[in-house]
Amino acid sequence: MKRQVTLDYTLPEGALRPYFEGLREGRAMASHCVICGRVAFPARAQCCGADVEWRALSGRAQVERRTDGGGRGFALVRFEGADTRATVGITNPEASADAGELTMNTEGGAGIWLTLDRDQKGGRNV
Amino acid sequence: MVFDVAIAGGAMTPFNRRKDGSSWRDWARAAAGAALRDAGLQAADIDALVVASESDFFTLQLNPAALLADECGLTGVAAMRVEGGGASGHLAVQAGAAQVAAGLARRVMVLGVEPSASHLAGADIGALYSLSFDAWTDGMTGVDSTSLYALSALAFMERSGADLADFAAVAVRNRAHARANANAHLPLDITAEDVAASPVIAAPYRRLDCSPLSDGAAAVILSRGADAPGRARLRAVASAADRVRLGERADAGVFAGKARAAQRAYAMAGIGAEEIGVAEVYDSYSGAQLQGLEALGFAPDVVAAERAGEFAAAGRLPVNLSGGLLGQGAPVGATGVAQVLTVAQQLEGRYGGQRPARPARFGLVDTHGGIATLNAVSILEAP
Ligand SMILES: [Zn+2]
Repeated sequence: MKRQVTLDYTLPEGALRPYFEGLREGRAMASHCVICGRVAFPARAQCCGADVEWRALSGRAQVERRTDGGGRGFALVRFEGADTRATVGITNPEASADAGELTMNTEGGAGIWLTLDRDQKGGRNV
Repeated sequence: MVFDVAIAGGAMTPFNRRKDGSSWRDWARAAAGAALRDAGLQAADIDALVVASESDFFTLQLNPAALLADECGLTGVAAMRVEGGGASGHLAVQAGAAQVAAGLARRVMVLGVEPSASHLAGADIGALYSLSFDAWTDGMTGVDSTSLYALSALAFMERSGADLADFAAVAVRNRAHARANANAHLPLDITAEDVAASPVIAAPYRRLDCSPLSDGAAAVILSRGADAPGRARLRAVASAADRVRLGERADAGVFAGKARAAQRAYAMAGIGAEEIGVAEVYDSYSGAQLQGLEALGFAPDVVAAERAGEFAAAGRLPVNLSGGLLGQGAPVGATGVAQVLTVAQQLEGRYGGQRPARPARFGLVDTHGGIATLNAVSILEAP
């Protein structure tokens, strides 16, 4: 037998809404723990058992590990000012720079996308 | 309290991509019936059923525990479903063992099943698997399981000195082991050159470094030792969760949650890693097997031990003689159940495939969901 299921979810973002709103505007909103000082990006709703404060990062990130295949690229990066790393999709996998900038997700999803610098000398393409 | 749980019997179907029109319900019934026969029991002897299945999206069946109890002639039993991503089957065994140990049930059937190959397109399965990580961060970037494992493997390679040849050796050896296993999905006669020539999925991983999507089912029956003479004993059941986001781990290449689960298992069994004589380790990817062996504490330098042949069939600690996920296959809910069954049969000296050069007294089973995010480790002892 054949069955086809189409599911159209609405996912409320709850305490992480400032983080996701930032992503939709191309801004890196990190969580900041007032107790231990940890800055997390992607953000966390809580740290040290308490609610976090919000802090805007520059959106620049340094690539630490990168994998490519099938024309797509993903990387483990650290955003400037963050104590944690993030897993990102690379919008321009043909580029080889080891730094880039957060890019607005045009598809409306929640993923983190990074556009790599056009060359190692710091020229940007955004 | 003495932890007194035995593997009274078990069975599995072949793991492969079904092309015969059979359904996941058929495989589950077949595994359950064969497990009862192996244990010398009737359906009426079973008083609890624990079902393992990773996702209702695969089967398009919610509440599968009740359905399978009914399908397998176990009407009236206590029933539940256990889920923990890739570790689902193994966690179901641990949940069943807890019921026996607590005296809540005398005989528990653990039944794992998954149609990971034939019921959905591979791309759809991949999209569902990507939700095994933090769906709100990784999953929605479209990052797939192979890419996340690749990022972790790159960190492991840099720290440990493991190289592509080490990964290929695992990919080749597990497929070679699978050739002695009649239930294996990929019993391949391949070389390191074949691995290097297979298409890149997410560098450094190529097609032959990845475990396949498989269909299949496996079942074991758990009881107290006195009810299962001559059968292997479960000496330890342990699990531990790690940070879900790869980027929040101190070292993206370390399977720290697995190391924690292993330490708990060794403490519960009262033995050290050096006493393990056979192991089934979660090799969802070739490099992940080495990362897993490191976390399980099997060698101070796991890469040197791998190169010295310590994990080969003739080595000090034979690993994945079944072929592992890479060779035997990976129908998710059934995977961990089959791993436990394999190690039990190895310790009982009745395993049908490749056996260790020296009979083992203790065997270890290691399974995880996510990227070693939810880890299950159990230790079994020969009867
Ligand atoms: Zn904090």
